[in-house]
Amino acid sequence: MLHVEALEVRYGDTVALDGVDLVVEDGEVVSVLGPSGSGKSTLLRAVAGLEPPVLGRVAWDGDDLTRVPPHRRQLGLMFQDHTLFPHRDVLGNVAFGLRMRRVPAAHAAARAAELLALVGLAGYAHRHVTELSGGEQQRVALARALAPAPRLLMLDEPLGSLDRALRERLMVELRELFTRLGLTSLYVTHDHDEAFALADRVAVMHEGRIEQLGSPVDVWEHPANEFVARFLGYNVTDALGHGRVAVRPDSLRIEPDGPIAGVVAARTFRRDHFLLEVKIADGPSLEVAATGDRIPTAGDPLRLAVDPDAVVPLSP
Amino acid sequence: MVPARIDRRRIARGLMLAVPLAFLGVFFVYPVASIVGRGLTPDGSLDLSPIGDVVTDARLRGVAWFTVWQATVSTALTVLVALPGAYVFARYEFRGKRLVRAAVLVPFVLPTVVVGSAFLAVLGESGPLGFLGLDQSLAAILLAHVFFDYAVVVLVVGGLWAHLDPRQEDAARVLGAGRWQTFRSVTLPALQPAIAAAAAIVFLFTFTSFGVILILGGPGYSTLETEIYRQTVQFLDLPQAAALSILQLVAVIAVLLVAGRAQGRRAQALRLRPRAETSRRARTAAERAVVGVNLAVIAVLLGGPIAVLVERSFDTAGGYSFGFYRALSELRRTSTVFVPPIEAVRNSIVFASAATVIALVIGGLAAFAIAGAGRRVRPGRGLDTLLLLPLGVSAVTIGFGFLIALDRPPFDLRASPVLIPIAHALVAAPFVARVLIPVLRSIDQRLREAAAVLGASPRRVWREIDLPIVARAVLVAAGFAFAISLGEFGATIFIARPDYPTLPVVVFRLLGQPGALNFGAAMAASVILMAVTAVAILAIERFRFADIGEF
Amino acid sequence: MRRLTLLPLAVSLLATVAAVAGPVSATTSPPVRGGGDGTTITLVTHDSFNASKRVMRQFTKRTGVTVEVLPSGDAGAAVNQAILTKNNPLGDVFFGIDNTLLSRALEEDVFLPYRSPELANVPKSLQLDPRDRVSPVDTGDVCVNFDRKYFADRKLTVPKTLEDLTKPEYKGLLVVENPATSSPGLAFLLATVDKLGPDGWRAYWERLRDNDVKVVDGWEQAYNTEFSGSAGKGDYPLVVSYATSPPAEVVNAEAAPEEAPTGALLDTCFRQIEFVGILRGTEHEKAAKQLVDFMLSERFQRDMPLQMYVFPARDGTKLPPVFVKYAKFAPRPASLPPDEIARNRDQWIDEWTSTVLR
Repeated sequence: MLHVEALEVRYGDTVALDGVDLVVEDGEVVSVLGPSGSGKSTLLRAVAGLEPPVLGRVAWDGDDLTRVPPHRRQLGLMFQDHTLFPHRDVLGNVAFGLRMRRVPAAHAAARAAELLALVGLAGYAHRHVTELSGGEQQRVALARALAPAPRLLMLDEPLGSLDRALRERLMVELRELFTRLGLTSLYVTHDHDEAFALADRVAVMHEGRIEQLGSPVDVWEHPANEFVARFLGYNVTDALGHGRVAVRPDSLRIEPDGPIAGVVAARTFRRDHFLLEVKIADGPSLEVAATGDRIPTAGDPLRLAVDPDAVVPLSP
Repeated sequence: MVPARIDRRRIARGLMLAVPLAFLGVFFVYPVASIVGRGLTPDGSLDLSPIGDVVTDARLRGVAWFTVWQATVSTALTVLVALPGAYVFARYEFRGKRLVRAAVLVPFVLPTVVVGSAFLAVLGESGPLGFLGLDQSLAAILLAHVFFDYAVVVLVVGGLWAHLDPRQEDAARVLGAGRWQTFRSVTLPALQPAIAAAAAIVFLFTFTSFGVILILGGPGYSTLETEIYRQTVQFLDLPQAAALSILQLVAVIAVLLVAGRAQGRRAQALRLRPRAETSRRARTAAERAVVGVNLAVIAVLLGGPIAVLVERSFDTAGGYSFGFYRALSELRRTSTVFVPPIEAVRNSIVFASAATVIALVIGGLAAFAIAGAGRRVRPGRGLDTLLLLPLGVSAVTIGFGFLIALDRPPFDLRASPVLIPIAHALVAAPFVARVLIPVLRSIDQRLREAAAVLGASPRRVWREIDLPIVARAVLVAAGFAFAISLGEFGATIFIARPDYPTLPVVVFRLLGQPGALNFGAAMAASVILMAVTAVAILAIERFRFADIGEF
Repeated sequence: MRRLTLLPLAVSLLATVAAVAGPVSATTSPPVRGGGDGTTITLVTHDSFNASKRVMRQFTKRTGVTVEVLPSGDAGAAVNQAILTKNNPLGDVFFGIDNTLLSRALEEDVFLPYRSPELANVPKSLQLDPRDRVSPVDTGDVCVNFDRKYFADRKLTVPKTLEDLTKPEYKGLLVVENPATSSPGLAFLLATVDKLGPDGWRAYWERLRDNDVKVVDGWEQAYNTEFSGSAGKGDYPLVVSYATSPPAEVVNAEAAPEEAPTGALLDTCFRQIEFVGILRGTEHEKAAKQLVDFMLSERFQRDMPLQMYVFPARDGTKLPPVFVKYAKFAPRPASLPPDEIARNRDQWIDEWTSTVLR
């Protein structure tokens, strides 16, 4: 079980992590979600031991890891952009961690082969890493991180550089893998679909702090504050008269008698619908989907309505 | 609450810095300070007036200006001519590539007296190109500088270039950038650190160029180095020599600092790829032309003078034969100066091996200390510059400095053969560092981090990540160090040495006596020197250590 | 690729063996056999020193003293190094200081006075130091050399005097060395100062300059590259070199010629005398004295001409036939007192530079 307590990391004067508390139970997958610059990668690096914290501590099963150098923490980290070793082939990369632990070569090779099969790259052992496609490289990176059987696997935007179709497929495979291996995992991403699909719990980060921590359903249905709501794609508005509320995406409708009056500011095509940005009298613009024959264009006035159970009040 | 790991890393870095600093301190700073100090305290008290005299002397100011100017032009010219060569070596495979790569280092080792003679044979008044009127001209000086220093740019820049990912350039081309634009906006910035490293070295070599100025420029041209030589060796006017040395030092430091600033930001982490993947045979006619033209440049510019030398070594009175080579074993057999050629070869190799080891250790440690530390450590520009200084200070000053500084136990090395590889290493170590640093800096820090998380201790990270990637650069550096020692760079020409003659010494001795036989034998000895160099470089290049693959 | 390939393994093995065995030193004598006090002394000299191994062995056998030679650059460099290290000398005896550098070394009190009994056989005119701090060992005259074939082919009269060199028929035929960087170059300058006087020599050089004299920085370049009469086959049939260069051309020719291909213009010569001295601070004064005696002895003096291409200082020394035939001893060479040279040298060089190189 991973314990992160009051972790603070600074780069010069900038605060990258501002007192983060987090617990990851054995076998649990926690997603860390947030925009760029929110400190997600820094959190992973700090847990891995690559960034020295100014305050706070990192512990595993009660053992304080804060002063332990990265090569002795027995944690796994899969980098953004895979960071495979260019001067070694696939086998050399995957078996690296085992070699560092002085596992005999034959045994290491066997385990590496096992992992390659697990990630769907059986037979790739002697290929040059620079010849592989993006998806293949990510799988090798994953196999490499898994090979030494780390007690915690951390992944830093592992699917970031892949195209959408590949990403979707790999997401499914990862989910299966995590379940099958019973991995304890910390998964960083900026894509909330990814986060919700893979995680047991989700942590939303903003400016070095965790804004909300909870199960995907909880976080999705009850965003804790305006930031989280916006990040998840909620419309935030005061226009409904109950103070500031978050309106679930896709729950706004164009209704001739709706309570909200507005003017179309912009219109974007989204495959099966148009997304309209609507300016309203008091509050930020709202986004609403429009289908059908006659889609309003910029400048058209319209009225909007919303399902009452799609409205989440936000604490002031 | 800073974790202990950081302290340990800093201590390790400190130790890595301490060794090169100690070496430089004892064998460079101390001797130079001694001789300059002696010059500035002629009667026991400090007298700085010679510095004033030198600075106010219009002629000497002109000399200083000319020195800087010709070095700058020589450097620019060398880079311009050699950069296409570096490109060819980096990106193309062709038959005999290994041999050509060893061959470009051969000019480096030749004594300038011998090369000067070869150049004059072609450019001199009676030579085939005599009509160009280049005898005793600036053009001849510049040409000779390019001849000597071509290898530096080709190998240092070519070395990094070979690891650059060509797909970066491809990406730019696809986006519509023309060839030239791609080069300027993608390739050049990536190469910048290597080009700067090579240019700095070429500048320093040409700045302190001595033989070339004397022989090919003639008495009409004077640089700070020739002035210092004259003042120290001929006139023993130590105060003026000291003042000139200081002037030389100031000029060198100023230029290095300006260049360092111009180099600007630290090298970016690059996507490095194994060499085998970045070079291929030339396919289109245009590509073949590029390779062909550059090989032709090498053949003419470097091969020409060498061919003249080789020809002369066989051109005996009775037709072409090995007569002069035989003479090497027979001439003056009964006299004390006689050196069987094989002994000279052996001595040269022994000294060169020792010098290479010293240079790799000192230069390697310095390089790792300066560049290998990681992303948030400021580049050690101070050590960088200090390390390069021995190249920019007159060999005469250093040599005479050894004489008066290293004369007491435990450092009574004045007449010890140990001083010879040390003096060579003083020139070679900064070379090694300069070759390694750009490659080291291009290594993505995250590779090291990945290795660390996978269980590699800092020492193993170095062994598994840094070392294999720089391995090839280490071999290039070793080749250079070996060549520098074979060619007797540095202060050894000017210092007393016990009689362990090396090949260049044999050449000098033979040239110092009149007679066609002596001259021919000197040519033969020079050819042997070239052959030994080429063989040694080829052997070094083939070296593989541990299980490092051909990266 | 795990295995070391064979070639680098062999090379590194070789290098290791060589390194362990150490570089080979070419000392002058083998270990002393039986008897003798077994002292080793160091002879500091310039790079052109040479002697027969046999002769040096005889010295060791006779005295038990082994001589280690320490070459230290050219003559000027060697002398200056001796001066720089006078408080902690590099060796015991110094050979190779000549009359152009003598004054400076004597002023710096580098030598220990010693009057060798062998000096009785050396002409007084060569013993330039009344206090015997140095003893003359050999003389070598710096003279203009000419290429016989060049002049014969063109049916041109060979010049004789310094003045002849300024004549129009010899325009562009003479190459000289820069006195600031070359010892024979300096000697030639001094010859003109002596023969043409302090007021005439500058004008002489102006005339030489107008007659297209070529200046290069070193003797090697002048003789081996520019001179037409030697290996370089250059364009200039007249060069400043040594009176002993013609016999050297004969000895070191590839095949013995009928007569020397070159000759020396004896009216243009400057007398150079080379001295030996005991370095102050030596710990082996007795052995050093023995070496000085030996260098003035018949055996060593007879060996010198073919080793160093100089004339022996000792009266009556038998010269080798090639010297007798081809090397002429200049009857009235130019010369200047050492302290006059020391006093004016820098200024003369400056004036020469501004006159000739402008």
